[in-house]
Order: sequence, then C-alpha cells, then structure tokens
Amino acid sequence: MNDTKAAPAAAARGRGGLVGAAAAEWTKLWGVRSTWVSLASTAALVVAYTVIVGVSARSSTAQSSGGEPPTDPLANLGTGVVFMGQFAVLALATMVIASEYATGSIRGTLQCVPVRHRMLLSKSVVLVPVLFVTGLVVAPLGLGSAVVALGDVADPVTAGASVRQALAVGGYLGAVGMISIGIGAAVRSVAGTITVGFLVLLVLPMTLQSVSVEFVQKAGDYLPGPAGMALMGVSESDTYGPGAAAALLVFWALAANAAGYWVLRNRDA
Amino acid sequence: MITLSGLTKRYGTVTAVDGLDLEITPGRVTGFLGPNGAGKSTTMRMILGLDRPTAGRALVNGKQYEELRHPLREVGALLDAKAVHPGRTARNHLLSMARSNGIARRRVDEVLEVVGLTSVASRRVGLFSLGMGQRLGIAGALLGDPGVLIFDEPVNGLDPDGVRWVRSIARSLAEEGRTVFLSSHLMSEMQQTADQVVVIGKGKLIADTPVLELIERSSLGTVRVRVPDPADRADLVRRIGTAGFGTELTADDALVVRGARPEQIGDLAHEAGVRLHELRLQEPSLEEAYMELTSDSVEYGTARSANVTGGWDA
Ligand SMILES: Nc1ncnc2c1ncn2[C@@H]1O[C@H](COP(=O)(O)OP(=O)(O)OP(=O)(O)O)[C@@H](O)[C@H]1O
Ligand SMILES: [Mg+2]
Repeated sequence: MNDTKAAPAAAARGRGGLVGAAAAEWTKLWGVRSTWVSLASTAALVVAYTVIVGVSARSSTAQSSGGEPPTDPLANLGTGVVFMGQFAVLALATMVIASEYATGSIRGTLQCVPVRHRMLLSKSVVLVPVLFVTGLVVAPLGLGSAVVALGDVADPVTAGASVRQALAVGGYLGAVGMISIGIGAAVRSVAGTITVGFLVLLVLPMTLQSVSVEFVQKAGDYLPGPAGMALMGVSESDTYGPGAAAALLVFWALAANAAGYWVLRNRDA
Repeated sequence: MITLSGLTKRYGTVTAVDGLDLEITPGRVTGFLGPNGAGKSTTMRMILGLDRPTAGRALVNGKQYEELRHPLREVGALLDAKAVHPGRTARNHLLSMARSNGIARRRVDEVLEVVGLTSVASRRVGLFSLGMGQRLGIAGALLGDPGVLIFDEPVNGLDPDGVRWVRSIARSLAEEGRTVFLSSHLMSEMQQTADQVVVIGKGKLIADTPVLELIERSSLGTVRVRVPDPADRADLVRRIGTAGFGTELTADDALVVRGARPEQIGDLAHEAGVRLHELRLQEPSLEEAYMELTSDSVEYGTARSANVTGGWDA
C-alpha cells in the first residue's frame, strides 16, 4: 500500500470518462460466457429460420399449392432476423444492463462511472458496434443457408443487394441492442425488459396490424420491428423506404435511451 | 474527508436518515454504529451518489460523488460484496473497474495479492465463498489507491483471521493519512479498530466522539468485589446501597457495583470489617457504552432484560 500521494502512480493512463467507461463495458461484455452464447444463438436462430422457410417453400412450389412461396433468400434472411434472431440480441442487451440490477452490480458500475448519461451511453457505445459486426457475420450465414435450403427455387441474388442487406441486418441488430438497453435502464428487471422488448419488437406491431382501423394500422408501421422490416426490404406495407426506416430506428434508440436516462436520473440505484 | 450536511433520506413515510451533520476526517478510522435499520447503509449509499438525498448534501473531498473525475481513485467502497455477476472471474471484475477509471492493469494483480486472491483470480466469482467475495470487495475498494475508504460491514462472513486482517488494513490505511469510514455490529472489533465512533439511531446522530471518550463517559464502569462469606456479602450490599450505588450479584460469590470507584468500595468494606478476595475495576466496554446510548433507538429490537443473573435477596 502506497502513500495517499502516490495515487497518481497507480493511474498510469489518465483515461476515464466515456473512453474508460466503454473500455470497462468491453471488458465486462467479453468476461461472461453468455455473450458468446447470445451471439451464436443469433446466428443459429436466423439460419434455422431460413432453413425451415426455405425447405417448406421448395416443397410448396413443387406441389404448387398456396399463394406466393417465399423464394427470395434475402427476404428470408430479413424475416429470420425479425422473427427470431433479434430476440437473442434482446437477451444479450438484457444481460448488459437489466441483469446488473438483478445482481446488484449496477451499484458497482455507478461507483466506477457515476455520471448517469455516460454510464448509459457507454453500454451502447460497446454493444452497438459488436452487434453491427455480428449482423455482418450473420447475414452471409443466413443468406447461404437460405440459398441452400431453397435449392433450385431460389430467386437470383446479386452481390450488391447482398452487401446492402448485410449492412441492413447489422444496422437493425445494433438498433435492437440500443433500444433494449434503453428499455432495460427504464424497466430495471430482466423479465420486464424481455417482456417490453418482445412487445415493442414483435407483438405490438402484429397486433396493431390486425386492428381494422387504418390509423392504428399505420401507427403500428412506425414501431421498431416494422421499421427493421422496411430497412431490410421485407415490409408488408410500403409506407416508407429504407432511409426513413433507418431514421426511425435511430429515433427509437434515442427515445428508449432518453426514457432510460430519465429513470436513472430520478430513481435511486 | 467526508462532509455530510443536513443529510436526509426519506423512503415514502420512512425517514431512513434524518438531518445528519458530520465530518469524517482523514488519518483515523471512524466507526459507524447503530442498530439494524438505523440508516448506516443508506448514508453510505448517499455518499457514493447511489441514492439521492431528500435534503442536504454528502460531499467527498468537497465534491459530490458524481463530480469526481476518477471516483475510484478518490473513494474506495465496499457495500455489498455479492453484487458481482457470478459468471465473471475476479480478475475480469477488477480489470473492468480499473479500466473505467484509467487505473493501470498491474494494480489489479497488486490488489489481488494484497487480499490473497491471486490463486483464484481466474475463477468465477459465483463459486467464491462468502469470505472470498468479501475479500474481492475489499480489493475493489483498494484498487484506485483512494484517500477515502468506505466499508459497510466488511468483516461480515470473515473468519477470525480475516477479521484481524481487515482490522490491520483499516488501521494502516488510516495511519497513511486516509479517511476510513467503517460500519460494523461487532463492538469488540470496533473498539480495537476505530479511533472515532459515530453512532446513529433512527437516522439521527446520537454521538460523534473518540472511542475512548465514549467508553469513559459511559456510566457503566463497574467494580467487581468478591466476598467469600454470605453474611458479610449481605452486609456489604446494604452498605453499598446506602452509599447510593447499585449492585448486582453474579453467579459466583462476587458483586458488581455500578458507578463506584474501587477505593470507595474498599473503604466501605474496611469500615464493615468485611473480608474481600477481590476488588477490581472493570473498564466499561464499547459494547456497554453503545447499548446505553442506543437503548432508546433500537428499531427492530427484542425486549432487553437488564439483569439475567436472576433474583437475589439480601
Ligand atoms: N430502497 C429502500 N426503500 C425503502 N426503504 C428503505 C430502502 N433502503 C432502506 N430503507 C429503510 O431505511 C432504513 C434504514 O436502512 P439501512 O439499510 O440504511 O439501515 P442500516 O443502518 O444499514 O441497517 P443494518 O445494520 O441492518 O444494515 C430502514 O428502515 C430500511 O427499511
Ligand atoms: Mg446496513
């Protein structure tokens, strides 16, 4: 133990602030096995979805029954992300913040980084790029499995469209992560975050779709899930294009984090 | 240096901390005492910026916790040692803390060494015993080499060896000129560790005095007298009673006289011609002084019986 005055010696690098906070989050993220499990699950879920849909599309085309079988590999990838893959991302984001409330380690985190907006931001600063890269990896895997599963009924896929779709998948997963972090900070419980996340990302848009009031249907189109579908070109309605979808996702990510920040500011840890 | 001014915390209708004014100064160990639910942990959480005070302020080195640029380098705290993700290794936990405050990586290995966890640094924290978790919490507090240390019941769950170890750490930190603020329910331990004690009850300040002064001031200093002959004993008890002191009989042939000096009892015995086998001043302990101070403010107490030695009639 050194003298009190020796404290700066221990602090070889003067880092702290957002950079330090993000470095700490990065260290924490890769310090638990469940991170790898979640990321691998994201890929596995998307692949599984494209295989199931692809195989069934092939058989339904063979028997030529039903309307339009989903034979576009890029579309199958996109719907796979929305219907399955994103929930592994929701689980990961839940572990990043809501489970800190469950273990009580949020207090330790706030002792290290007491500035609330910095603490909250540092989570997204780390998670969003990780998820974007995950999307870039998941996309070719899901596309490959979609093509293989569809076999000779697969629609042709161009390189340009594939790259665009990979960026869209990465962007959407990043947005889902950031939205979930905001929800986690606002809701503060694992079960609550997963429930609210599930509602916002999938259940609510689908429920609103089925309401026969046009205004309500339209409103549902602007939720994060439908925005993701628009971004990945698998939207059922053509209310807006990919550019507006991206802007909408950014809006939801910021709004969720604003809500999370408000709770962080106003409630005891 | 920790400065509390008018610090108040209400949870709904419960006032957990009620207008605390306090200065916790460097260079000594300040013990923080009070019955269960007195507001000790709440006070510490407010110092660390985790709970927002309803009124008043808590400052560390003149600043609110949130204003500290590198908080871990100024304040080290152990609140709840179990509050770590169970799937993380001890080293990963400390490393993330170090990175958040720009603390050199080698410091992680240093503190692991200090608390004796080097050999289990790569084990997951979920597998740690209570005492190992406590040691990890202390490692985290020491990590930034801070000038202010806050420990909430640090010896909770430690073996006797660990208790002594915490005592020596607290002592040496204070001797290095740091501020050490430590809560505990172990009075004998506190008596040996603390220089100053702060006692609160129901959120209010009851005492803020040097340990020795608090003990001396206590009226519970007693004189132990052993009188072998039962008749003599009864006689002496009567005389002591007449002189205005209270007596209590212990299990053997001794009397315990409250508030008297040994010479006064010796004189009384001499006048009565009573033969004594022992005449000894019993120093009051912190525990007794504490019990006396807080008897009115025990919130979740059991009925306290003053005399468990049973009835005795002269
Ligand atoms: N988050 C909370 N919400 C509501 N009441 C609370 C909260 N935290 C503490 N309290 C109440 O405030 C009071 C003080 O609690 P605190 O934990 O500070 O006591 P303590 O002195 O640390 O007790 P102990 O010795 O048992 O640890 C208690 O009555 C407790 O029930
Ligand atoms: Mg407590």
